[in-house]
Amino acid sequence: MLSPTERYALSLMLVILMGIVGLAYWGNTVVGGSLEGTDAIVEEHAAAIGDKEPTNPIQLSEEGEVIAFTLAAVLAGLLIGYLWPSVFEEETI
Amino acid sequence: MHISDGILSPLWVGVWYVVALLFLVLGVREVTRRAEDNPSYVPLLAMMGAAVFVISVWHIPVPVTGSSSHPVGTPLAAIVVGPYATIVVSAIVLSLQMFIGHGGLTTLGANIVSMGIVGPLTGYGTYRLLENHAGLAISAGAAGAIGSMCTYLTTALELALSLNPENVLRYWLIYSMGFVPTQLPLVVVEGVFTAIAVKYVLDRRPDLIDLLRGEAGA
Repeated sequence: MLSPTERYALSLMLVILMGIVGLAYWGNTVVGGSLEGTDAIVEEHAAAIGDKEPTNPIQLSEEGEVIAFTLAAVLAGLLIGYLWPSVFEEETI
Repeated sequence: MHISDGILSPLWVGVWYVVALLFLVLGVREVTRRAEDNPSYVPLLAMMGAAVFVISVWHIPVPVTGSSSHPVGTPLAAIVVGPYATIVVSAIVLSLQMFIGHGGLTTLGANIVSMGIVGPLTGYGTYRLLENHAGLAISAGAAGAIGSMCTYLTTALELALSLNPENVLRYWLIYSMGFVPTQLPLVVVEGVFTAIAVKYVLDRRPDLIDLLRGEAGA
């Protein structure tokens, strides 16, 4: 049985996920944008002006980036969930 | 706001590393002192680190501009764990994000300055400035929004200083205008999120934020 906190967290995750999927659908299908990150857009523009070539220590394919982000977010989420009781549910600090 | 390798000149790579290291020393001191005062501070710090990690790679689509961007999470961390401790958290987060193709090694100093120093310090400063004059929602919300926007404006400045030293102001405005249209809706989201999160912490563990207030007032 889920605790109230777990139910709240899962509901919140679902709402956020639906919101992001909805925004992505709107942006990609209705508006027709690429939804590329502004970091990359501005950086590519600046690099072109300054005649530079942006690189990263680790180059991932588009699919690799999605997998890496997902795994990293899952690990971070597990860490938050593991530490949550010791911070918010016990009078330890 | 994650700048890749190969963009900044060696001079500015060095400058931003030096600035980041100086602030990191202050951050490590704050973390050490607070962890010694209370060992339970460490799990809170780790939790905020994981939260900043997720928030700062969380690309949110902005349909009206046809692009996406991410919040930074560091103003929230600054209010909860302290502004200087957030610099340490950000340095660790940005170092890890390099392994998922977000940000470079030579630009780590510049990225720490924008996300780890300017974001938390402007956010925390806004919070402290407003908390006695406005409600919690407004002060924490404004902290999240201003900290987030200042992070991106700093990234634009870092790019302009390195790439266009002959006309910094003009190119700072150009690069800022690349960020601002997408970032405007996101700073509102970050402001609302920061206000809700700070209210949650205050409701559940008011001692955490009172501790920071007490230290700042001492």
